[in-house]
Amino acid sequence: MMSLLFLLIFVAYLFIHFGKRNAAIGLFIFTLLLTAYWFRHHITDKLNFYF
Amino acid sequence: MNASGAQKLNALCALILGGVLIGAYTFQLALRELPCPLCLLQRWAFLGVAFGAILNLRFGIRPSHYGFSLISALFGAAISGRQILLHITDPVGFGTPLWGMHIYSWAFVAFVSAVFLIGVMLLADGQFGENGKAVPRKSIWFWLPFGLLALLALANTISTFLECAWMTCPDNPTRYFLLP
Repeated sequence: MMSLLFLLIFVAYLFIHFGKRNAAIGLFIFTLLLTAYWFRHHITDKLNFYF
Repeated sequence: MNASGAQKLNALCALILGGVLIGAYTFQLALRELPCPLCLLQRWAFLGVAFGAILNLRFGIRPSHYGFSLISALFGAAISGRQILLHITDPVGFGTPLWGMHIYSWAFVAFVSAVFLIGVMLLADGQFGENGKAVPRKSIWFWLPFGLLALLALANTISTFLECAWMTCPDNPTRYFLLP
């Protein structure tokens, strides 16, 4: 569910706005790890898209 | 360079990163080229690079904030580099080329440039004062880059959900899953 990655970083941005630095950083690190998982999942994607 | 100048540079860089994501949306909406999973991860990495810049604006300049941007840029370079290698024997590549290179190639250039620029910024010791001031939230130097990037993060949340819903995104997206 890749939209979750963008939702989490959006929430991290909101934490920044409301002054919650540590929460923003913690959430960002969590999202980074999640993104790394998805990269590993899609690392062998082969796209055959010819125009 | 003092903290104020460095913060203005951070704001400009954040705006440029927002412009890159807007460019990605142009391909998606105008040319109807939906982003593949690796493309989505690269978009996330651009938001990650901007995350450090926004931290510098909101909480004052700190080396750790540059560290977050650096990690995101390296991560983005790994993803875009991987996508380049996946297509390196492919005569066509994925998506419409822009000025002779595919978007993932331009993304790789952008991420490597970001790594270099962050390195240059870290050379300026003058910005790391003991009383590093945050940019006021009402200042345009904060709310414009922050607003743009937060909006783009939200937009990507929505568009990715429309494309993939709750399932694994297809390797080769041709339509939005949740749209007719």
